[in-house]
Amino acid sequence: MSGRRLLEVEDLNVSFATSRGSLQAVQGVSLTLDQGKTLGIVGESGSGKTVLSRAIMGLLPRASTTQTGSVRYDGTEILNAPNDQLRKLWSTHIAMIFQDPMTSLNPVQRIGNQITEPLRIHLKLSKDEAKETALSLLMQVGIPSPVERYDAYPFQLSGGMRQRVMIAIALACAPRLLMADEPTTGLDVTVQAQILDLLGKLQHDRDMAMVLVTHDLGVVATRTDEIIVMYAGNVVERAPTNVLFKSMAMPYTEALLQSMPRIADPSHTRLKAIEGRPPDLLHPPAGCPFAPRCPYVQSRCWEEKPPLVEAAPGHSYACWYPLTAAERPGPASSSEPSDSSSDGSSSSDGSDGTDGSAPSGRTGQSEPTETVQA
Amino acid sequence: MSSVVTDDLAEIKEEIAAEEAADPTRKKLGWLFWVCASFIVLVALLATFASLLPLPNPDLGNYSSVQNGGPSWSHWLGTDDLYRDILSRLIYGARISLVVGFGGALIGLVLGGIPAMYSAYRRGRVDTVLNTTSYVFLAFPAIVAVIAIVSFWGHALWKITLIIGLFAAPLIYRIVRASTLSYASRDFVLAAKALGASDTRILAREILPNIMPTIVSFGLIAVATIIVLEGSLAFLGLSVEPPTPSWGNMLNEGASLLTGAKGQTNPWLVIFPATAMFLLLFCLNVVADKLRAYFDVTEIKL
Amino acid sequence: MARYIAKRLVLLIIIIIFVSVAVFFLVHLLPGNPAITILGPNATPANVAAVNHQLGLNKPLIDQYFIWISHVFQGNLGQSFTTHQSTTTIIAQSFPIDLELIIFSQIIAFAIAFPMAMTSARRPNKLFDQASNGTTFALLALPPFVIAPVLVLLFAVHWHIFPGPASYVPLTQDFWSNIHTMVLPSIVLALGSIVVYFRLLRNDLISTLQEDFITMARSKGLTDRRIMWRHALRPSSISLLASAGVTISSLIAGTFIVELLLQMPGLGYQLISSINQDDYLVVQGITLFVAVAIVLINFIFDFLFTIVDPRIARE
Repeated sequence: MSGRRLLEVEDLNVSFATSRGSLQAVQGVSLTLDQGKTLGIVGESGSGKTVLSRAIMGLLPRASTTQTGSVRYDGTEILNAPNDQLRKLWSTHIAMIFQDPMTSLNPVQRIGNQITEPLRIHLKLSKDEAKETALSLLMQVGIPSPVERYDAYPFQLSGGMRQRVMIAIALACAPRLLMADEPTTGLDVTVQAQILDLLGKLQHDRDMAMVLVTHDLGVVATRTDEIIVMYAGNVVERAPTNVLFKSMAMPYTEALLQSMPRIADPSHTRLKAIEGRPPDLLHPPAGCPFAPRCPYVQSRCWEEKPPLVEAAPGHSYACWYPLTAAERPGPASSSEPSDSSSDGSSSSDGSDGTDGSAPSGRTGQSEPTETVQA
Repeated sequence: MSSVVTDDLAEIKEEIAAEEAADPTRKKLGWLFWVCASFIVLVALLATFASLLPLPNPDLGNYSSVQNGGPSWSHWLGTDDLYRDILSRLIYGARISLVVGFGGALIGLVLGGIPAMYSAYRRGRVDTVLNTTSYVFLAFPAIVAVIAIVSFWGHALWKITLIIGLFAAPLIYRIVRASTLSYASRDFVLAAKALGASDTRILAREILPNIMPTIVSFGLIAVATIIVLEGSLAFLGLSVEPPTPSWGNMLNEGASLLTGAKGQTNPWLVIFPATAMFLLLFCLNVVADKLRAYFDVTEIKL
Repeated sequence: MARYIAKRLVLLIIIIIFVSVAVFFLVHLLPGNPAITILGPNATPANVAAVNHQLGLNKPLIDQYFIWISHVFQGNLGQSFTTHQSTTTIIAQSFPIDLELIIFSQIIAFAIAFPMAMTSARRPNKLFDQASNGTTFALLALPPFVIAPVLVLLFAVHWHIFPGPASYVPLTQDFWSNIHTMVLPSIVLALGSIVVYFRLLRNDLISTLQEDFITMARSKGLTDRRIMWRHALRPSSISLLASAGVTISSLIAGTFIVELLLQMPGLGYQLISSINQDDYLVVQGITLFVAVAIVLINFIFDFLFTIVDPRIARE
């Protein structure tokens, strides 16, 4: 695994001009990603994670969007770059897997053509060469009898297969950076695991860097090297994966973790939802954006916005009163059949040394709050 | 928005004003709407009270005037081939367009709209028959049939209005039927039914107010279309008989003069009726479109 | 897919039957006696009765209908009482003019509406879009009978660029003269179509361009032009096709009007003069021809619709 720095984002701000004012979708986000590594971006709907991934790639519409800061791919600045420059990178260097394959694939074009299109345009392959490559890609993504499926239309395939086709399209020109925006949302639970495994394998085989954007902590738990937690457009915590689960500092991260249902829970355990709603991005609050919903909120949180500080090597968070070891949740902490109106009470049980919750392989969690898509 | 329950009308008004100021996307009809609506009203008024205005006789020519003269102080828009004042003919001619337009649309609404509401609401065999009939009807180019019938039956104003209205009915039927259907299955209608309301009452009190915006804006489009139809008929010599002026037959006269066959040309006889027709149609379309946009809850704002 | 076509074919035949009945009875409900037309105004009642009998006008209407229909199937649409030309000849001679007019005008309409819609859709609500929206809106207020005299005034009388009315030259006679005479009528007819096509395509393109798969196509590094042509246009053309069938009726009506306005010897002209001369067989024949043509065209459009959007054929 070569450790080349492929992606560097510095103080990225994205805002949209709407009729009601300027919407601050992403505020001051910085991150880095090396080749061969995986970065997870976690947050609920409206946290800005999708906007972030699209802004990095450069896919946001220019007209009403203001982007400031810096995004560097392999050393070259690409933020606000002209479209023809970006087009040289798209598909060949950076590719994106979109959330809903039913709407992201062209409904009136055969999937074979959708795969060969970038091959013929960017790699200048002939029609036959492109078809061969496409068939081999279909096999790599695990689609049985690719020759028969080649001429199918998207509506003739199942959800899982469509997502595999999307992956095939994204990987067609062998990009070095893969952005996966909620690649498994909406799929069956069993299929989700297969797709994630597939992504992991392909990434390893091709030594790609991958960004995995999701609302589901379970998805990123074992498949990422580093995790960024986003809330209301801000990065609120960043840490290598195991560090995050072991020693999470943000109450929000804790709340996310606790809201996940666990297989080990007894049946009919109440889900612990996070109370309240995300803040209005048109008028970002002066203090910490999570203050209205934080179980540990104190007066300072309302007045001053905590900056993102790197407290331990590689571990940054933005909180005035980060969780102490005593407060952090352990593996079985949320199994109490308590009322969901549990604000103010921390679910500590003293065990903090265990690896976060090992929710590996368990996917398909419900979203912590409303299911309005970002 | 804070919802304060209060009896104070002034406070409520203040709140609404504040809300409107805060949200610039709130729909308004716009200045263009009012300009066009006023124009239509103006034309209607002029046409109705034409006889009270100091206009020269539109049907008889005044031989002391110039023939095919351009605009002048005595004849603001000039004269035509038969020494008649164009302005006067234009104003009297508006009567034809407006009567046929609104009259025909009204007939179409009554003949097409009312059965549509009943049959859409009740469904069943009547509905299927009527619906298929309207499909067949609409497969015809109506203008051909109208031309045929008017040629035989006569050119009287009321006959023309009636026929055009008759042929407008199937189209109005389809629109009203579609609108009624979309409301007929809604819960509030069921509720009224459960309370024992008669069909007529339901149609009139529950459904009609909801489909009214669609009807009004489509009705105005229908008026514009009918005016075009009448104008085309008039141009072909199939509308009201001379010397009664109508914008269509004025254009006809103007067009025949253009080719110079009669030895003179009078471009004003083309320009003025054409402009009048254009303005009226334009205003009708604008008003219809603005109304539709104003009431359309589902419009996407880009 | 085959079953779908078969279903539509059956429907087609039923509609054509209905249409033929409607045409027949419509014509026969009109007052007017062809016998008098043939014999002239001085016909005696005895002669009139004789001609009536000869023409079979005394038989019950139903019988007359079936006689007519059986003739139609043999290709016999009757003949004109005045000119003694067979209806089929009349149609064959005058129809090509309308056909040429329709084709020309639609070519012009597409050539203008498509690029206009695509440019508008790329930057909605910006200057070009607003201008084109306004222009097309204004065009709605310029029906053929308004715009034709104005265009003739400008281009024929004032500037002498194009010939005026009654100047049609057949294609077979002189190619360039024919084109020359066709320009103004085609433009007049095209205007209405431009409005319809532009509006539809613009609105559809705008919503298509907001779909997810367009963003995905962008992320594949495709150029805007390729995205527009290859990805956005196809789903949008579908709704254009869907409405094309509906507009064919008014298109034919418009063609007749333009033809009559500019005194071209097409089907419309023949129809009107036959009506005026009580030439009922010709009227029937032409009307049947037009109505069946419209129904057939609708059917063909439905069929094209199926090919373009494979999802429809699943039903």
